[in-house]
Amino acid sequence: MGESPAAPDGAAEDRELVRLALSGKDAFRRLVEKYQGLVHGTVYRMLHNRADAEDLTQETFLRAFRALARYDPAVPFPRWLVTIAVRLGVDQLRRAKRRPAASLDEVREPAARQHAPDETVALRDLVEAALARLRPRPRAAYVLHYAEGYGLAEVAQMLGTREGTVKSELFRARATLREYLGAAPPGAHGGAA
Amino acid sequence: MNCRAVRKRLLEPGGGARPEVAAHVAGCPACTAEARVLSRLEAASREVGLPVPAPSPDLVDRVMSRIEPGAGPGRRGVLTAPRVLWAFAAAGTLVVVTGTYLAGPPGPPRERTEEVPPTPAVPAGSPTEPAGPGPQTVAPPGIQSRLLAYGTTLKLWGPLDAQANLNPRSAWLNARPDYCQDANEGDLRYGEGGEVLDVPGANPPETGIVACGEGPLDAVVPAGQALQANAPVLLNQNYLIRSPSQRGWFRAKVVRHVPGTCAESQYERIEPAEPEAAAPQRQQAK
Repeated sequence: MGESPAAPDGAAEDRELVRLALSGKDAFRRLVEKYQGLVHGTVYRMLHNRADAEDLTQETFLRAFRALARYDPAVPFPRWLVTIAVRLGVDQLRRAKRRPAASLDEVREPAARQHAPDETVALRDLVEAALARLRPRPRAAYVLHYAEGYGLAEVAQMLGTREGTVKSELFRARATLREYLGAAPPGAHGGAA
Repeated sequence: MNCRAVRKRLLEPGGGARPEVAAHVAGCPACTAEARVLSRLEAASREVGLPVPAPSPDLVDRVMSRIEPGAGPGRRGVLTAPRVLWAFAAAGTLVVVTGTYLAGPPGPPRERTEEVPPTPAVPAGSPTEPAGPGPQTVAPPGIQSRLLAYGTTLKLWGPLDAQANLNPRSAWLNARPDYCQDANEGDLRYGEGGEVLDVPGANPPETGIVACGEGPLDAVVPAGQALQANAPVLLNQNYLIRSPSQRGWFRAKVVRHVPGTCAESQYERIEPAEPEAAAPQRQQAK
């Protein structure tokens, strides 16, 4: 998943759609239709909040439209979109830190989330709770790398920082999560230890 | 390697794949157990946030409805988010936003909005001088403009390609939107009129600011004057410097400056002033 979801043919199509969209918004609609799922999914996994994910998905496309004239075709279009979305997501997480936020439980749909093995689900819930304790950027870096599967360099580019910074943030994030899980009931580890 | 070193390596991204780590883990039951826990942690991390709910069926329509008919990218044409306008209005800020307003995502009023002057006026001659309720485009194509509310903190991601008017009470900034966003832990703090008050860890305000991003650009903010891309940098003057090779901002005297890059420029670093000494000046700046 670390690679851009667009296949080579998709990349060519994207370039053509961008070219057309530069003349008006109609072609841009096709880009929105094509990548709304990618953007929404990425933001949702960062924020765990459906309403915020919808808002930021809209905002991502609006900003992309405004900046389309400066889009560099050398960068895969979906990567460019996700970069905008991720930065908006980090800002949203920072804002959320300052206000009472809905807990993860409020936005969960337990029945729908039981698609993974029980022990993985239990551990995932603990991971999500632990992630909520991280600062916004390490949290975003963690989700992008370990959940979305982007490489370190890609994550660094998306977050506007250096690869080494991402690496150290991921190290600390993993240490924090491991420490958090260490205090969890033994069964939550799936009997790993 | 001992167990402690191995467990530290295991926490690094891809650390478990290192040959020396793998060799130790293979012969150490305790580290094997730890590696299994971390492996399960990674597996669970891949499930974070899943399943993702489908976006609303009308999401595309809502996006497109916020783009004015016939609008082209990089020009005016994106409608400002009503909630953002409301947030500014609620804060008592006279929002004069261009049609290419760089809107932040909908959310609550910005920090320190209680300090927003009730009716800040825009002085004559300002590029954002109000001209009725409608938006006014002032930024050149590809550059977007936004009003800076009092206390706004901006984070500059990279090349600014920016212009700004930092005159009192009419602060605005034109910048490439992908390089400039609000941030809670930002690098610049703007005052009532958008003047640069300070940069954390580097007070008091200096002659100006040089921001060197990854790209070929400098931005200079002489106090109270315009922020300009590729503005001349005066030698032997103190500036706040930001460069890719340095963490955060630092005060420095510019010894040699090569426009477009910090790498070939020379700065004589100055230690940050004592906070006590900075406080009165910041107050004065407000």
